[in-house]
Amino acid sequence: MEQLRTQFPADDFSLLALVLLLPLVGAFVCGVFGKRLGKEGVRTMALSAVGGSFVLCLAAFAMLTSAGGAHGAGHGGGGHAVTRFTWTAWRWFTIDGGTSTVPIDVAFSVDPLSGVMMLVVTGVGFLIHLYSSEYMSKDPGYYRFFAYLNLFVFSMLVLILGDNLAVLFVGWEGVGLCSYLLIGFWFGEDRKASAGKKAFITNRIGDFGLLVAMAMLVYYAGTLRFSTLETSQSALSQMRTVWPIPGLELPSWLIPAQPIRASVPTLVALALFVGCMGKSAQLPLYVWLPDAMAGPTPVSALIHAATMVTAGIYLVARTSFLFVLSPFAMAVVAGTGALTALFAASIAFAQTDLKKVLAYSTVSQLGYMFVGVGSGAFAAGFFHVLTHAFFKGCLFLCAGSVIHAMHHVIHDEEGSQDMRNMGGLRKHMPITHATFLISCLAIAGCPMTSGFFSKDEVLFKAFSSQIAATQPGLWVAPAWYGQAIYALGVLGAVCTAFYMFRAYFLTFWGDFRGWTIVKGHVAHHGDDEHAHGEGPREGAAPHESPWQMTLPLAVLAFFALFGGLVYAEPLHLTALERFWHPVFASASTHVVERAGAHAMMWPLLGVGATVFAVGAGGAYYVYAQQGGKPAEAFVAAAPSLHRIVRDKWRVDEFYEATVLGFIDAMGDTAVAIDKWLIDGVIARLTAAVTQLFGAGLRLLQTGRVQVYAAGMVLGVAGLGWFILTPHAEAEIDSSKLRSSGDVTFTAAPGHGYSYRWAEGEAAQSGDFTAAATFSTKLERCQTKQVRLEVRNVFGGTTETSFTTCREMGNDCCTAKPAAGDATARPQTPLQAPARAPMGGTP
Amino acid sequence: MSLAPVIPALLAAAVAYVMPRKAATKHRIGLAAVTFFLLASVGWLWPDGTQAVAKPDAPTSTEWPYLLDFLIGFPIVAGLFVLFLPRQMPSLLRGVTYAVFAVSFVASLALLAVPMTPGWHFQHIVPWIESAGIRWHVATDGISVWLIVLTTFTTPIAAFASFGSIKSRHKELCAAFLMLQGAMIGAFVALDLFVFYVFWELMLVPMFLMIGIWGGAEKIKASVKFFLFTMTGSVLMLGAMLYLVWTHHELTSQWTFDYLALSRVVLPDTQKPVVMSAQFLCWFAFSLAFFIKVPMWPLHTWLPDAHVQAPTGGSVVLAAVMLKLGTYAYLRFSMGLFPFRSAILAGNLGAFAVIGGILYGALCAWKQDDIKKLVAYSSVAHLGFVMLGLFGATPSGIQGAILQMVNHGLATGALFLLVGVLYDRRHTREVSEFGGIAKVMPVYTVLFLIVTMASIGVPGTNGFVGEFMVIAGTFVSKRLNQFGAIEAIGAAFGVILAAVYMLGMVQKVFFGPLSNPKNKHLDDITPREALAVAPLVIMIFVIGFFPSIMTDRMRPAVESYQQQFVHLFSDTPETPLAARLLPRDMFPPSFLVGAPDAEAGGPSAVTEAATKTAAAPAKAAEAPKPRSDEDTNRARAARNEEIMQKFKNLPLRKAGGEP
Amino acid sequence: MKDALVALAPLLIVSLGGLGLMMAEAFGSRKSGGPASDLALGSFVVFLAGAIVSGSLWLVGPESLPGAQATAPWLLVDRFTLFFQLVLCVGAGLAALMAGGYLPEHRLDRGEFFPLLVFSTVGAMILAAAGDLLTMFIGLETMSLGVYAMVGFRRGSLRSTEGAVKYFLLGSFAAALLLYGGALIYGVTGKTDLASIGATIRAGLGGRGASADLGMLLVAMVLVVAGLAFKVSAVPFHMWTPDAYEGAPTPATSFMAVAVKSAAFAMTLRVLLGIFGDPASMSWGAGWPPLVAALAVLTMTVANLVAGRQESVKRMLAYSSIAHAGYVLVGVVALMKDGNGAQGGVLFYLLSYTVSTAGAFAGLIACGSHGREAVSYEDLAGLGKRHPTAAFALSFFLLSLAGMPPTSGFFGKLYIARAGIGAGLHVLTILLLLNSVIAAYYYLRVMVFMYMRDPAPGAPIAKPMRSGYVTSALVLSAILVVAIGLWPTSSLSMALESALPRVASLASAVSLR
Repeated sequence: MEQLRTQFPADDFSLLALVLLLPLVGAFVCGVFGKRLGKEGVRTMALSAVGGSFVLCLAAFAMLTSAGGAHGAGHGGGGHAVTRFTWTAWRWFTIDGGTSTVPIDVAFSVDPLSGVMMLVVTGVGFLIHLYSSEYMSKDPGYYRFFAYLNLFVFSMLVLILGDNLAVLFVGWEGVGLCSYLLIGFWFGEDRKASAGKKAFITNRIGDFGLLVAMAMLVYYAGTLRFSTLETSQSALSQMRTVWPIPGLELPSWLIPAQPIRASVPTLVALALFVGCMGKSAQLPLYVWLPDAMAGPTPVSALIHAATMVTAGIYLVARTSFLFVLSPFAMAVVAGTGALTALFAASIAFAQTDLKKVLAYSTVSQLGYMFVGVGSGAFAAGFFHVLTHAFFKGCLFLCAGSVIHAMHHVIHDEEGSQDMRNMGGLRKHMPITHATFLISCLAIAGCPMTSGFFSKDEVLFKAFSSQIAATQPGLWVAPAWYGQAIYALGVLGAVCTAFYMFRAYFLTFWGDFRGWTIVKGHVAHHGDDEHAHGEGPREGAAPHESPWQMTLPLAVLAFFALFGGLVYAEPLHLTALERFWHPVFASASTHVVERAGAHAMMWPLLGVGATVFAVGAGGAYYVYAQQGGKPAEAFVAAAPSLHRIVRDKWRVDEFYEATVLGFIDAMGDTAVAIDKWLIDGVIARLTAAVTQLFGAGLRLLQTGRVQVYAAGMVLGVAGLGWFILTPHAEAEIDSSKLRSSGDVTFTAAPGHGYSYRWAEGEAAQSGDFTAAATFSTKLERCQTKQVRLEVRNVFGGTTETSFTTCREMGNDCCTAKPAAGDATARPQTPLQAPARAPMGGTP
Repeated sequence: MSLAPVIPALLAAAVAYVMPRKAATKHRIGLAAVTFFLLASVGWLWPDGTQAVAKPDAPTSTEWPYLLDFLIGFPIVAGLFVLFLPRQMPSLLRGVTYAVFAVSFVASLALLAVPMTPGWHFQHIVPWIESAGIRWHVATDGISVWLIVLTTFTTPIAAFASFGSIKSRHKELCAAFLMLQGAMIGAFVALDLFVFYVFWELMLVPMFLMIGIWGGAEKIKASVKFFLFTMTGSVLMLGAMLYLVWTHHELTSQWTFDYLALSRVVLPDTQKPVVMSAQFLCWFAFSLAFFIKVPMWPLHTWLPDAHVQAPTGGSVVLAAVMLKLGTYAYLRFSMGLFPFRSAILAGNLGAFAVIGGILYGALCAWKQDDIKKLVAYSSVAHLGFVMLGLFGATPSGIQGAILQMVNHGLATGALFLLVGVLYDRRHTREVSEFGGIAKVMPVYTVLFLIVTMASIGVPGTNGFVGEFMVIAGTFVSKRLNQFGAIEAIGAAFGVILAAVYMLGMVQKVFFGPLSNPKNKHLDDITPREALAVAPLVIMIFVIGFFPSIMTDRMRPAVESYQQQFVHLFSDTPETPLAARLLPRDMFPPSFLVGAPDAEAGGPSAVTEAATKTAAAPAKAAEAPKPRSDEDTNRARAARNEEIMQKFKNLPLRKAGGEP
Repeated sequence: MKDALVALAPLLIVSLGGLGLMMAEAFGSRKSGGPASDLALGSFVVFLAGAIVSGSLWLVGPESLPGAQATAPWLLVDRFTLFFQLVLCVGAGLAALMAGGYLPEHRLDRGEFFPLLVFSTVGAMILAAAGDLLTMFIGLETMSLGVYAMVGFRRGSLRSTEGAVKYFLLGSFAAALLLYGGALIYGVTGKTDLASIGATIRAGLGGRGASADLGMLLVAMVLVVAGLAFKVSAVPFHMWTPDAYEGAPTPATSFMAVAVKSAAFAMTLRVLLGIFGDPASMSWGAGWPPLVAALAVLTMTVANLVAGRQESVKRMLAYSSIAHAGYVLVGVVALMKDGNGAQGGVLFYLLSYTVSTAGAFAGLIACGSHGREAVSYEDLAGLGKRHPTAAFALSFFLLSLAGMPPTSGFFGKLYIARAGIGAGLHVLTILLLLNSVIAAYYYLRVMVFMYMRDPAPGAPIAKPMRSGYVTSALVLSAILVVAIGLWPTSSLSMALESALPRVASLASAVSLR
């Protein structure tokens, strides 16, 4: 330990480099050389990579725990002794912020929060790698799969260990990319490919929020490092006008009575939360997660249950000091979480696809986590992340092993995942059954399981605590808000218990409905005629999975059962909270506990227990005892309600109709504009007009010499007409206009011209003289009109008027519209009259 | 970084080993060599150039003044020479072309050897047409040097790819490519407006022929459209140029087309309405030419046609380099000559770049069913980012813009190459013709995905850094002050749309069932094609992870230029009643080095700094010879440094304030 | 006296050469090949000598020949004259070379072509030198008569004779206008030599400034301008041009396009600056500048628009030469403001235009052969593949005409535009530049056909001819174009120094925007 610490000092903790490098190398090797290594090689490579990185993580974690506050002062923010080991790889790039230049390093750091998460990622990751090595063994894309999986672990680690928001963003998009690749792993089917695309794009919407947040932080805080941000909160305490945008002309009905203002932390936090909504599948961006089940089941377990989807909660916890500055943002987070929890739970009722049920339950659980972090219980909320990783990972893997078993006979995916084809599996798959049951208890919140402690801690905190305003004028959540959240949470918990046990009973109890079991039947994949043939399917009894798959189940189930003991407040076991305290110290100062709330702890625990009892008991009654008859009765009673719930409240269809429809329409409009308006006018119309004129003029070229002569005559006539009519033009010498206000007009000369000048509107008097010049004097900002009459030798006369203003550079002339015509421009001593022909076209 | 020297060799070996078994040895070696060379050059650029900038007089003396002349002249002369080679031996023609390109690329790397201190480097001035005040004045700085390298880097790749897919009339092809490269480099380094115009027009002809001769079905329409669009813009620019020159002549009674001298001229804009004022009209004439080239909405419609009809190589050059000329020229000339106009119009132009460029371009791209057209519209969107960064005119915005120019060159160039690969196999680019080809072309798919990710700016690839710098720069920009935030958000929104259209296309083409029987037996990307794409892909990652290789070298130049910009326009009176000449001491002296020796100093009090520089141009104008002399160079560089410092400390009058 | 002979050497050389050629043609032995080839060589030598002599005289400088003023005012020998004589000899020489290849190829091998060529060149040179209304008219007619004959040279072809007749009729019409204008001027001022006419007008007609006289003077201005406009074929006095140009054998066309036009511009400059150089006649209000400006706008725009619609390349080139006259007229308008090098611009433009146009016509000749003449665009389809050299030559000169840098055509436009900007004729200049875009379209169209189109099956396709004369004409003009393009300094300064002296410094000229 000591030499470890000397080897890796806290401020140059290059151990992280190895932690990160191993999965990356694994991904590279598997992806590039995978085909040549063969399955064995790939398996060894991938497993050893993740396993090795797990071991290193353990070492780092050990150092972290043992270090305690030793390194604190130096690296922690704001005096809180946060133990943080940092490793800076290189200077990525530098941005000029609003006030200072913002260096952005490729730097990684591990502190209690990221330490725990890192363990989860590599640990659970390793188990799932092990599981997949068997689960995917039949797949031709074996090496591809493990390359992606390793790459995912790498990006997830980057996300967690990133020392600043930019590096975190690298991981953030990296995991998105991996999930895109893994969801669409079987890209042969359009449905799966588009599910991957949907996931990526929905996440991109979140990333958009993150990008904006980063830009704001660069501008307002001048840094993206978490540690520095934590200390520079003061820079963020200012209000900005959000609407109307100053300087933008708007129709009056768009301008509110008083401008809408928001504090910078609110803006930043909300922008960050948009990112979290996308990544952690919260309302309204949750839609990608259920579709993501198209990927292989281990992927669902690792990415879409245990690790990636919790990145949002991680981000909120990471920037907790920022969120608590804005009670509004916190309220939004908690509210969104609660609503999502209930909403997703309601959908899960009617799903018959096992994985879909789990998916919606994941969405719902993520909602609980946000309730936790949103109501200031960062430790509790993040603790739920931890327990959820265990039990939900376990559940998914169980589902996987069930599907694995079903798949032996039922080859189409829908069928093999449909709970209506399962049932009674507890006889055939004991281990799977046991682990599934344990995890079910955990997620349903059976007392003394991990889920119980985490969920009820979250709900209790939601009930008890509220966020204090850091500065006057901030919006603060009303007192009832906490209870409302709590109520929603409890309701959701009942649903959770019910639908989880529904799934459990449907899958493992009753009689097997998949196919008629034939003793001694050897199921091999070759003969499909009876697998897909008409009539009742036949096959051997579904059998338990090999150890590579059951071992992870056991481990995870163990943690799901006992994992809660690291942070069980009722039992006064708060090791984890103490461990995390420094991280959330500065944030928790703004979280106040409402008076007398602490006394409510035990009663609320009771509520929690009852919730479990009701939900689970109900499920037992309906599906175990009555064999699901009440459910059918209910469906018969309210078919439309059932249909709409089964169709997930038709949210996807709604989005299709509104958002996508809108963008689609805009796209069509853009294309139409491009084709017809822009190209039509700029290119086609111009060309057409040119051609037309050309053709027209060409017609004049008849070839008849008389026409030619006529043309010449016309030409002579035109020239003659111009020369025979007088033209009153004059130049204005206004070089002294600004200084003295003297202006001199000089009429254009002409053979036999005689002139008559007048000022203002006065009628012309006197007769024509040879005086070609005329001068006058202007006061400041005075506008004068000078009229010139010209008579030529043939007796024709004409008249022009010039308006001149003595502009003093302060735009005092702009008031008068006429001033525009001949405002004096000294830079060129010559001046055209009001209706001067442009460029000599008479 | 201790094992840095080994990395290139290792990766090169890996690349050579990974190639499919059927690949010939020479291809293995070629690819490995390319990889090694690139990574080695990156390693050579490593570590970042900051400390080089710190001590200006380090290897400044190694500037060979004729290098730029060589980079311009060599390809052009070679292009003419190729015309006299027998067309019966295409291999000879190609060999010559490759050799020339290789030499110019290596030569252009020499540009990076010197620290890019603020001011001009490799400056070379030769009187050309004294009577009209036209001089051969070329120089580079931290901004244009990257575009030069981009040119010498991508043009060979384009040529290489073209020789693969085009079978007819290689002679003209070689000549066209060579002349094109020379002309483009010339336009990048010209500091005399006349010289700039010459090259600006000169590069039209080869591209016109390239599209028109080797293009697709609609090639003639496309090529003529391309030519006329660009020429319309440039003749108007010529008019404005002449007006500027004339005004300068009236002010100083000296003829000159020199950019440095002319940037001291402030044209009047008292005329009401202001759009009729000389300053606005000239700014507009210049910018119009550049906006057409970029292209910016609504002048972009020539681009999709040109791209779709052009042969692969032509598209690559067009996208990778030629469009950059528009953005670069806006940065250099519109902003340099008319800082006031470009500054006060920035907000509105930014809106154009966001709505018309980023969002509109993305929407159009999304709706295309021709892959190449899609990529073309995506260029419109990407260049919207670049222009936004320029309008924002913050140091990071401009850096991001320059970075984004290079990024777009790499990513879009690679995309065009890959699309070309597909086209060569199936002779169609209709998205609907494909589907599920990832099964038959795995390697190709991987490459395409990588480039796609670069193009939609996934961090880790080069796309992200540029986009983020632009967005952040826009957000903090004072030029677009209230609109900065909105436009930054709009730009960020464009990032979503980028994912939408690119991934939509990727899915339709590569994923899903392999339905079309014609695609059943497509063979995967050949080593030759891979050889063309490989350098781009490598650079995508290199820049993605080590952008500071570039940014550190461009920062000093960009910062000094940006400060000059802010300083100038914030000093310019809101409505100059008459054309006037700015005093020299309003410019960073390193900027004016090489300006023709006009009247001594400006009307205002000439500071000691200004007198010093007033001497420097005298040297420059009279005798370009001593420039190659070490002492003068070192002395000049040192002097520039300290004067630069002084300039930086100048208090900016209502600095950053919006007029 | 000796000085005078030396000063008039170019004129004398060419005239005597013409006589000699006539003799040779008359008494020369009819060889099988026909006379054209050696006569062409002969006349080329004559023109070359004329060019060299006038060039060297220009360098020596007429001021060093005091006695040269003996012939003044009837023949002025100044740098202006010598410059134009140089340009004319170059243009005519190139035309002679073309003829040497063209006539035999197209079975027009009759010797009289060359004397005609030489003598109308003599007329042109007299025109350039004329300082008196009478010599001016003599020169004009000498030039024109020869050209009339050359236009109708292809007796067999209807177009040729028709063009000749039209040209003759309208030409005499224009000559009448010019003559009547001159008569009026004489009536008003009582002088015939330009200098003293100008002086009289500036002096307010010597006190006889009666309104009737002034009116007559104005009418005279209109008539003279109209006559000049016909000679430079400005719209709407241009309509004879396409027919005549198309009908004439291509070398004659080239001669008309370059030499005749240059001479006409020489006359224009002399008249406008010499007679109407006074402020009153140069005023924007009631002088010739607005007239010429209007002509310029019409000429540029109409010619370009119509040229874009032509099917025959030759006719297109005819219109393009009209358009170029329009560009030059912009420079002429710019004369009204002093000190912007407008004259230099005009002269330089004429020089570069001469070489480019002659080259273009030579290229056109080279692209066709007997029976397979390159007339319409279609004939040229795919030429770039079949005969890259010929196609390259033609497109090179077309690019120069389109004003692509760094060819000479670009510099010509540049200087004209600069003069326009300098004179404050911003809109006029912008129109000029935009017109050059329209022009680019039809020049490009030729390249499009040559390089990007394949000939329609069965359609007649041009087959380049082989002729040392034409080739040498091509090479010569190519060298000149590139040289003037890349190193315009010397030729430009030459043009600038050749400018006519400005009698009155015209401080008062109205600038417009």
